[in-house]
Amino acid sequence: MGDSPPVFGRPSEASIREPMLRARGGAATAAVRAEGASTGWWTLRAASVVGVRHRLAGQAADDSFAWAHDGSRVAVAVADGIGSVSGAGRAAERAAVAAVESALRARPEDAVAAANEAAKGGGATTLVLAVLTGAGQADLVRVGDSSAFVVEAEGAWRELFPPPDEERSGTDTAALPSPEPPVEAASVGLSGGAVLVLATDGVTDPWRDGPTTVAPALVAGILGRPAPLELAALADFSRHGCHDDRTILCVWGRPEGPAR
Amino acid sequence: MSGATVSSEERYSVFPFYICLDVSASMAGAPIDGVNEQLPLLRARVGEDPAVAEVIRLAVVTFSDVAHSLLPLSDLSLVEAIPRVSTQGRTSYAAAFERLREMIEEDYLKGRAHGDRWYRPAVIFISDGRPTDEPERWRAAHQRLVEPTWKRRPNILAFGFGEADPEVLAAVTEAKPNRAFIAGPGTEPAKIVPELLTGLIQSIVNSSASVYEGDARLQLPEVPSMTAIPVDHLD
Repeated sequence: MGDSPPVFGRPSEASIREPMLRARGGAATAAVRAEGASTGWWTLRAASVVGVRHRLAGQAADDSFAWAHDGSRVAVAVADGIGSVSGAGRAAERAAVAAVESALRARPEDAVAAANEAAKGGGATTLVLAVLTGAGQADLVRVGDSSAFVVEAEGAWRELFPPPDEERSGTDTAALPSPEPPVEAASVGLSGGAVLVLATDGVTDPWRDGPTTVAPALVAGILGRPAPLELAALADFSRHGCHDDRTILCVWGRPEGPAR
Repeated sequence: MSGATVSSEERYSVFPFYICLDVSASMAGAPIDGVNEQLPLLRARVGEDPAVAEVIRLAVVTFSDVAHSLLPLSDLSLVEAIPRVSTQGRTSYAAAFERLREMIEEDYLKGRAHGDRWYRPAVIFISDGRPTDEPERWRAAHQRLVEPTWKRRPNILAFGFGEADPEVLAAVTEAKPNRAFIAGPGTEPAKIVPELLTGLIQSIVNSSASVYEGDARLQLPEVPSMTAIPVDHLD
């Protein structure tokens, strides 16, 4: 929430307006949440910033992220609460936490079932989950329009799930809880300094829609292995009409094993 | 460097709204005066809030014997004034639907060329009368507007008062629940029009917020003098 967010493409006048202070708030629902740390096997950076729309309305973000690791394996998740449903932010948090906890003990598909159960009780949420092994293999599942990218060390990037239809007219998305969640799966091997990126549509839409502005800026920022607050500042970019909550989580592997 | 299947064009999301307003002779007097008082407020409310104006695009289409674009699809922050409306002629629903279909397609293609990515457009249809064209004609024009294979087919909300026919309005909204509304018997148009347009302003603002809620949708306005026309649930 700096005074001068980075501008990617046409600027957003709304993004530089002073936010409205919520009537109640606290650390758990702060407008900026960030984390960054490493194990011997993995380095994680994650940041979540409240979108312009929520910020100006004095509302908290509906996005969430979570991680869990047991040494060589790490599970990471990003979730986007469906804002038209009451309790969306809490549903996103419950689903992300349940997914990563379950993913260390079970297959990713089963972790979705745990997240689906956790999402019940009010609200709805998307989910993208990745489980990474020490050998650099990443298995992913998702429900809804949160997505994942691989950014290679030389700057090439690709999305691991099918992007939305170019001609789409709406933003309807699958979500948890659901009697039969429509689960999509993907897998990728990370090598040579490649970075796995999970993100909500507040990031992925402008990433795809800004191939000459947002995408190169985010890729360059990610490859610079930013500090958590730097990643948050990067995610808080200004772009005309892009006012959604934004969450981005990056994982770098160390396939050769823990540093000595 | 981007992936091979990714477009190299910059895109910006917009949510288009088309207010389609009956300006036939029966709207003369208080109803049309109410419209002329409220449209500038709509421009101010939407145009002066950048969080809304960056996403919403608004057009105003008027119809009587023929249909006209009173305000082309616009970013309201760039519009200095919405022209005043005057009344004339009869109530051709066919002219309205034909013009809407043409405008939406033209606006979509023009927008794409400028880098717009569209959410499904919304049409807000307001009439105080029954269609004066032959039923076959307006129904055929309506069918083209809502044709399932046309990707730009709009979501339609319809509001009627005066001599408007609830069954016709239900057909205009494809018999979808909570899409067609009618004023209670005896309600004065002078009261309804300001109330309706005030509700629509809030509806448009709320709809712009829904873009970020995973299910961009037309938010229903609150219009106390109107009630939803009951329809069979076809979905």
